[in-house]
Amino acid sequence: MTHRGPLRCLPPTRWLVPVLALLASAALAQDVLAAGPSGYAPAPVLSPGDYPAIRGLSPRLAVWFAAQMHVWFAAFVLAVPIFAVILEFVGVVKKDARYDRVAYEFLRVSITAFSLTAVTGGILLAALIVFYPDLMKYLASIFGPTALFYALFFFFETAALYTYYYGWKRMAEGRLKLLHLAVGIGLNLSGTGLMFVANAWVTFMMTPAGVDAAGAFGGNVWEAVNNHLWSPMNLHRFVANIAYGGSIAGAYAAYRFLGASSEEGRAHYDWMGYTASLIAIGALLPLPFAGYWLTAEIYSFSQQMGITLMGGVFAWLFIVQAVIIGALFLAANYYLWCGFGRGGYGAGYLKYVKYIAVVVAASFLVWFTPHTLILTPSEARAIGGQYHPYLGPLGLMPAKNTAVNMMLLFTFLSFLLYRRAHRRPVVPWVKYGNALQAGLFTAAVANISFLGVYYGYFTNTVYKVASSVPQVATTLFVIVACLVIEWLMARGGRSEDFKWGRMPERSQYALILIAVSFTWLMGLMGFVRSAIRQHWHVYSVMKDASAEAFTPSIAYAAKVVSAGTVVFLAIIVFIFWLGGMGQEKEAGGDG
Amino acid sequence: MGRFVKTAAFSLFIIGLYTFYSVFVIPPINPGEPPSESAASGEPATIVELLALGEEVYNGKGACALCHTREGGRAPALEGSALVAKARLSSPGYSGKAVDAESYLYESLVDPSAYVVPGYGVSGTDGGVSPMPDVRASSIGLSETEIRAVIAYLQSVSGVEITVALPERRRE
Repeated sequence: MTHRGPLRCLPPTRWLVPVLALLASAALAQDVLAAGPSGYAPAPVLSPGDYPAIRGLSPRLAVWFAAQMHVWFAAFVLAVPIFAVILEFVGVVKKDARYDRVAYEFLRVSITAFSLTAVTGGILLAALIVFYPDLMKYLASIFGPTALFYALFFFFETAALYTYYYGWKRMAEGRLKLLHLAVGIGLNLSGTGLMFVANAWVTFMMTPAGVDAAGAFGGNVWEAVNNHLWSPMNLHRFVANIAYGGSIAGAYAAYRFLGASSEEGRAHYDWMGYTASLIAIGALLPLPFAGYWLTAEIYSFSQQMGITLMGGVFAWLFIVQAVIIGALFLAANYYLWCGFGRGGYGAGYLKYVKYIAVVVAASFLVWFTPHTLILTPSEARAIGGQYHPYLGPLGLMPAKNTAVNMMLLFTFLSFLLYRRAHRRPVVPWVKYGNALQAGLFTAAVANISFLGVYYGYFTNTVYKVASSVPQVATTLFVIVACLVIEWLMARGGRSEDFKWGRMPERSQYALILIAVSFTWLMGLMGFVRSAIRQHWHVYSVMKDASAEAFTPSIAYAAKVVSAGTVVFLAIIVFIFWLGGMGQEKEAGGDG
Repeated sequence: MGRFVKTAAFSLFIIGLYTFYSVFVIPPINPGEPPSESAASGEPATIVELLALGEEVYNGKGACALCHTREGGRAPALEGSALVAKARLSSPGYSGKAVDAESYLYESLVDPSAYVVPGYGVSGTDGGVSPMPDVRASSIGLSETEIRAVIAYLQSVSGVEITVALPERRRE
């Protein structure tokens, strides 16, 4: 096998995009800086004529599509190196080559996506400059200096990526392996830094800071960067990217599992799928809490924006979100239940599956229940208002917070039973350990229910929201406490190796469902994040005066998201195919 | 090939299901056009026109109805706001400069923290700061005429005498 030098491997897109971004930003910023005596002009007041048009092309749709493609690819390529490094590190510590092999395979799958991320980023930048020149000039006048950081992170990320990937086999032993891990960490730091810079621009458009009421910049770039949503968005995207990357890698493993002809191949891709889904679900668990912080900051910045998001025209969008998250949880649980068969003791736990399924499904239905019903006048009269007399209370946030905590708890219970499927504790205090775990679960269910019902319905609005914090704390405490107890109980216990590959084919469709659902959900939530700005380019500072300033309906957004999902997944399948070809070539070369 | 077709069909089915649900199952809500800048371009010439403008701004551009609902509990209901306005002036929590009910309502719109109804303040401020923005700020951006029209509308729904002067008369 031949190895090329890292720099010679870089495709032109990896160099051209940051250079173009830097040049465009400098040019746009210069134009605006010259506009006012103080150096910074107010946000421009636009008219429909200020927006260039190309016949037959919707500017908003073009930018929307390009942005969505870029975000999907970026999420995938930011996530994969995170768990590649973690798996490589675990492989070094455990001295288990399987981790190293899977980490490398994850990275190989994503390598083509890196170039596509740069290409879609370039298309997005071009579309924004062509169709929204005044907005880009205004943003560049504020964020011009950050373009330099963007370009630097881009170069560092590219150099680290190719060193990390192409150096994998050369730097496989001793100190070189540690150096390789350090390069991987550098890759992640620069990739995350890149995302943080991009997030500053996006969040400024939602919650502008460092500008006066007319939009004139005060000169403090950090103030504009560190706006209300920057930190919560950074955290939310960081965690969501890991979950998303895990889901796509899981789908890749599932696809390969379905086509594997040997027992060894099935075992390898089963293990890879399990590891990827564990990463995806592990990152999914804290995601609602990161989302909660993000939403709280939206409310903190503007009650009007918060209510538009949660109680206004987008309220039904969260019902769609609930349907998809419910599907994700059900699929994750189903995959774990199928995995009981991998261990020798799994059959004994199958009897609990129906109870867990009932709780997860019931929680899903509570989350699914809308707050305000859209009714005809006669229907409203029949039930006495816009709220259903019995189901109405389930539409409030306290009920939904309770439901999501229950879903998390019982998904974790599925995971615990799955672990027990191949391990039988033999410590003398096993009965007490089991009783303690059962007690913790029972107490948590009681506490979460009490908090949801009492503080949700018998106190005023402030406490309704505040009660969610102890609910979350309860869930996290039980998860951590049960894991510690489980670890103590497992010491010296009888364990059978998991029989990897012993999974029904239908279980792999759960992994594919998770990846498809994640992709669609990301598209939908990207829409609402952008749409709550309504008819503003930069909320409350710079109005959108274009012919497409109106907020589209959820139905329209769903169609756009679906079209994008199909295109994106088609490209991903092509990338998988390329990855498979690369693997065959490599295996041939090695062999 | 069979594996590819099966997984592609399965993925398309899932995407189709989500699309169907979003397009045909949830109620079709059209957020509508952005609020018109010309809402108050034609100055109301009669009280009836002033009230109509006030109602339009209250439910539209002003976004008042987003928070001030009986059910939401996020902001106090305003059906009786003009009735209680005068009593608020002598309330211990009042820190504004209004002299009568009309000027109190005006102050509530442009300086909402002058008096915060107990239980509706920003948490952590001991009820001293209102979460409501100045309605003249650019996220809402009401004009003087629109603000006066909202006050007239609030007086109307409270069942008290409308004291707001028409724009022409104010200029005199």
